Amino acid sequence: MTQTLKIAIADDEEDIRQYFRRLLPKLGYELIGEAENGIELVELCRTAEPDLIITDVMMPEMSGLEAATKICKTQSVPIIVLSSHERSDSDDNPCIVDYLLKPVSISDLQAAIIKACPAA
Amino acid sequence: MPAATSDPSFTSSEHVNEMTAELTDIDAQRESFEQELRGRNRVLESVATGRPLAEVLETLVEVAGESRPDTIGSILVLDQQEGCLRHGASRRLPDFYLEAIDGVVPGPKAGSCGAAAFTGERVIVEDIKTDPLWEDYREVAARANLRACWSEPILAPCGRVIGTFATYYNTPRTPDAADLEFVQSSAKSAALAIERVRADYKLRQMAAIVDSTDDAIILKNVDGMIEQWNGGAERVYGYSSDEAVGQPIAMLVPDDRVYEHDANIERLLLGERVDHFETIRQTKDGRRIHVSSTISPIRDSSGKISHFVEVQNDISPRVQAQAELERERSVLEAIVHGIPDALLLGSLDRKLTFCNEGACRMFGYERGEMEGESAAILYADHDDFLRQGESRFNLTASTHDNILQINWRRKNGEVSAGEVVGTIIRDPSGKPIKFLALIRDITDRKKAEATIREKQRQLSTLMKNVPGAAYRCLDDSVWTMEFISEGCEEITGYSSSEIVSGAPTWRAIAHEEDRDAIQKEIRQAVAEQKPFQLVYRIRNRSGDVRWVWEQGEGVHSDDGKVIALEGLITDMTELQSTRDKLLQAERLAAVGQMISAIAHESRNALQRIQVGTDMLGLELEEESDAHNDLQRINRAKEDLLHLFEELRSYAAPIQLDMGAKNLAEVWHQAWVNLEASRNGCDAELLEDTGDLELTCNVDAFRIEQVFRNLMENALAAGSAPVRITVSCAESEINGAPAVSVSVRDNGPGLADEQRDRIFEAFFTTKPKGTGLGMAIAKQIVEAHRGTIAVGDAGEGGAEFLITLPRNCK
Repeated sequence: MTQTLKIAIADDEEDIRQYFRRLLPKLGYELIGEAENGIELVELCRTAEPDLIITDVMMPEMSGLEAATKICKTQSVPIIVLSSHERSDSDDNPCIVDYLLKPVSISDLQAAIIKACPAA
Repeated sequence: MPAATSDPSFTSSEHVNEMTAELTDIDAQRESFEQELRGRNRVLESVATGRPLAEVLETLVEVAGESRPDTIGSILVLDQQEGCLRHGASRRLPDFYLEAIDGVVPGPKAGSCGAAAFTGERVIVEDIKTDPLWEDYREVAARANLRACWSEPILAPCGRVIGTFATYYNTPRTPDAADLEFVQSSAKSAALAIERVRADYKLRQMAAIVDSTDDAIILKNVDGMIEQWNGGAERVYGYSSDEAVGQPIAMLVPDDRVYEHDANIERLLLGERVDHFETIRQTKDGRRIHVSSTISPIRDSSGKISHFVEVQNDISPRVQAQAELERERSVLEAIVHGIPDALLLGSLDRKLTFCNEGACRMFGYERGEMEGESAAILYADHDDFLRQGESRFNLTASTHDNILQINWRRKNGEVSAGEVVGTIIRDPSGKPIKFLALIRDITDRKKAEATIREKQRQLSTLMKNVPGAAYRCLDDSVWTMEFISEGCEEITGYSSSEIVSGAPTWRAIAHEEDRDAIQKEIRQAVAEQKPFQLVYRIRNRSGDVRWVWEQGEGVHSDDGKVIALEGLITDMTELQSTRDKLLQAERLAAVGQMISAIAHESRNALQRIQVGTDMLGLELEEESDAHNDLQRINRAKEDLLHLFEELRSYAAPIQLDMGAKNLAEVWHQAWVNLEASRNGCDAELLEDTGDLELTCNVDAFRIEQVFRNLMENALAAGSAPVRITVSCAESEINGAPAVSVSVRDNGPGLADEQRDRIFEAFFTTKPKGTGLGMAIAKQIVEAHRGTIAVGDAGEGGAEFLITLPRNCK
């Protein structure tokens, strides 16, 4: 086992953020920061340098996809998107390694994380 | 004549006067002289009293016999027309002698009288028995006992012989001076009598002529006073002779003609001639009449003009007739030149003799250029000229008045069509004198006719192709159709002729519930002179209700009365149903959007449930009751998710991603994907492709969904062992190649209600089902332009038949 995988999350729902707060440590990952919208996520990544980002799409101020695009310009960090919409072709950001349609189960999520960061 | 007087000097009156003193027997001489004078006076008296010539001459012979009793007197008068001498008067000559000499032609040897008349000289025959002049008449003279005959020619003042005066004796005798004087004097008296009587006769003849003529003959003196006024003048002017004579001629001359009258008189007084002239005079009753007049001077014996004679003839009727004729002629001329048609007269050799202005316009020639030319110049086709010459302008051809259409040539060479009629003009005796032709230019009419034909053709084409029925009907209670185009048959099932004949009327065709409303709307629109638009129902021939749309308007006469309705009726039943469908589609789209939004929003909620159950699951012991409850929550969440997915799929518009795909691969994939569903279920898939090539152009993902839905139903319906049979057959849709796939199961099959409603949304027989699966399947198949239907599986199970075109674009 190498270093603990550092994960940043973004979701405007407190319930969901709380879920990640509790779940990720259980799965052996480190939650290094939470954002409530895209702007906060971009800011968070600039300072925290996560290994993986898990983000919702529909958020106030800035969507998860917009934030992913901005982040992708400065960093090379895998991003898992959770969405209630099916992925559209225009979302061809190379940083987005997975696109999970809600509702996402723990097993789906874990599989996606492992797939995104096989070394972890 | 008295034989006693031997001196010839005693026979003349002047000698008598000279010699009275010398005479010894004065009394006897005076006696003789007085007797002669009395005799002469008797003669003059009978002449003066206008006795007939024969009586005057008898008196003359009688007087001669009284003064010389031994003398036998005879007067012969020259008949100027016959050129012979006729018996005038005689004394003591027997009738046979008179008959013998009557009609003797003057000649050098025709007796004493014949010779005297011939020579104009006195002829003395002393003895008839021996004188050669009497050779032809000697015998008859002897019978009459005549021996001497002295004849003195009777001479007119001009010296012309007009007769002879002869004295016969029963013995040969030589005249003395007195005898000769007597003969000469008697001849002079006879001359006077004959001339006078003849002049009198001529005068009376002239007077009769003057009185009998219709011309007014008026004699006026140089002062302009009327002196003679004949019957003609009375008839022309209305004044009687008594009224006119003594009055000035000026009373006949109207004021505006005085100058002319005075000028004429002046010219005549200067010795000039005045020719015959026409002028105006006025009558007693004030009428102005046209007269033809001559005026001539009359001179007295000294050659001085003493009178004028005016001869006038009332020509008013002629002038009026002429004026009437002129008027008629100008009317005729105005007509002839005013008619727009060409009117041509031709001589019998078909040379143009007259062309009206219409002809000049039609042919582009001046009149002078046509007149005198052969009519052939006007024909575009010389054969037409020849044919007209045979059939119409031919004296032997039978008359016909048919109108012929012929091409004519203008001066500039242009050819135009014209209708011609023609005839032969004859004089009152029936003799042909001219040909008459009337030509009407019909170029414009032909153009108009062609335009009308073209318009009619366009209208007819339009009528045939217009989607619906164009009509014209009366504004009556049943809308009696005067015309309705053939399109009505497609709408109503009744032919145009049936509807026009009123069997049935349009009112009868209109739906009974809509008739009054239609009537009301039309009446209102027509009253406001506005077009109307109606949508109403009709019953067609088979009794089906159809929806029609009608637009029309009233046709008004000049005085504003409605004479008809005109418009168009189209069938909008399909449109109505399409509209209904469209409305439904719009509604569905809205519902779809809503569902889509709900589905999306639900995912977030579902995610929170998921998060909650997942976290709870981590904390609960497996197999505990609480864990089982959690599993049930999870299943409910899955069902909810599935329902949202189906709703979204049904409501959202289908976007196909087409590609060539073998249908067998597609249903295989569906079967494989159902593996989880049929886990633990005894089910098998039987395939019978019939060695058919199964490649079709489809959206494989969608068609797989169709198969999956059908298979899911089969799995749900059937009891183990479930057997699903897929078989294929070649087919076609709308003539295009297609593949028909049958999917049947061995379940209980479909009840009648299921068969009818299986493709309706939310119709389900499964306790757990959205009721959208088959509706979605139908949507997908129809999006591929294919069909899906319930089949009639022989073995009792449910069968669905999917037919897909091979090359759906």
